[in-house]
Amino acid sequence: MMTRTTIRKSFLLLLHCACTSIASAQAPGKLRLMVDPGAGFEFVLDHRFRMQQREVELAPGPHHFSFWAPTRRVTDTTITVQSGVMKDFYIRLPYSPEYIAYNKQLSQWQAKRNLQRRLPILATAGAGVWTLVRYAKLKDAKEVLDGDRERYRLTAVPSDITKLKEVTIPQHKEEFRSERGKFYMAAGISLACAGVSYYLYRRTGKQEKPQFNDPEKVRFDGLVWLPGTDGGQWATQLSMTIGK
Amino acid sequence: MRTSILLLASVLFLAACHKDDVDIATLTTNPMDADYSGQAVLMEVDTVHTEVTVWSIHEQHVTVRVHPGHFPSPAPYEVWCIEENVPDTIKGYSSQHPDNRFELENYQVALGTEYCYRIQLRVADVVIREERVCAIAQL
Repeated sequence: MMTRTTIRKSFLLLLHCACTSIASAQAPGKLRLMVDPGAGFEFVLDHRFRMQQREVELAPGPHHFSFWAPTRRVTDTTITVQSGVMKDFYIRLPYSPEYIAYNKQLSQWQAKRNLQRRLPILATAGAGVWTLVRYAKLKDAKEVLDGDRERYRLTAVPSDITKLKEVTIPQHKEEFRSERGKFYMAAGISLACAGVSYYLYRRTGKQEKPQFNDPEKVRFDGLVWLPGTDGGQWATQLSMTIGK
Repeated sequence: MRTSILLLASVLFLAACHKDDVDIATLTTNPMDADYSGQAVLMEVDTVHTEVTVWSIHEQHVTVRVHPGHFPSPAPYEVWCIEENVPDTIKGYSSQHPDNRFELENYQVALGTEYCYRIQLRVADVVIREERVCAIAQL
């Protein structure tokens, strides 16, 4: 759907081409733009027209292009258009230094966050496995004691009963208590790890992710007239070098 | 994360079910145990009576009934009858008394004399139950 702004821009471009063609009395040439990145790029033609299309029809002669895409650097170039010729133009827009710095910062932030989150979770998982192992051992010790109790109930050999009560059961009781102590320790450590993990997970969740404010976009926006709903605005920048 | 904590808490809860161990002092339910605190249901002295044999000798008979059905598990046993006045022991074996009824005979008793016996139920050479019974030899 063509907006009012697009119609106005196309009209101005056609007018520009027509004027130049009439002035030079030559047929216009075509440029097919092959830009990396393939999507989202924009360009400013001859310091006046901000466009997004992949093909432009221009009057013969040199034309200035300023290309830009999100996260990429504004790249200026001049292309000479030949009359009645379709020309392919390839360009790869380099990443802006700010984006590279941002990427590095983001990677560091993610690595730190991952470390703060994964390490305690790994510790919790390890402690959990250890707790399960201790639990299994405790269960085994309990089953041994239950077996002793059952043997006591069923045996009809008095010497077995004496041995059970004086040797076997006290020994198995000691083992059971030892296993229970180990299990409580493992479970306590697991709970502590889980608590720390939960706390760190919540805390890292509140950490602010680095944001990328594309300064190249500001620069690119400043190159031309930006039409808006209330008539538009002129955006530009002024820099001054102060020397000795 | 909360789920993991809940899982761990559940494991702890399950472990709480295993906190009871065996209290040896409460192990008194096996009738074969010397500390058995239940009813004496394994053996009972049925009758004590005196008879005269064909040679006019007087015998004192002690009849004992054993209840192997109350044993925790089937086991061979012996019934001993120890006469206290004279060191004499009469033995009966379960293999020889499939009806679990033992008639233990003390030969040549004097009429009017009291005889005391220690009746023992033994399993694997261990005295499980012992009862003392006294009776005057009389017709």
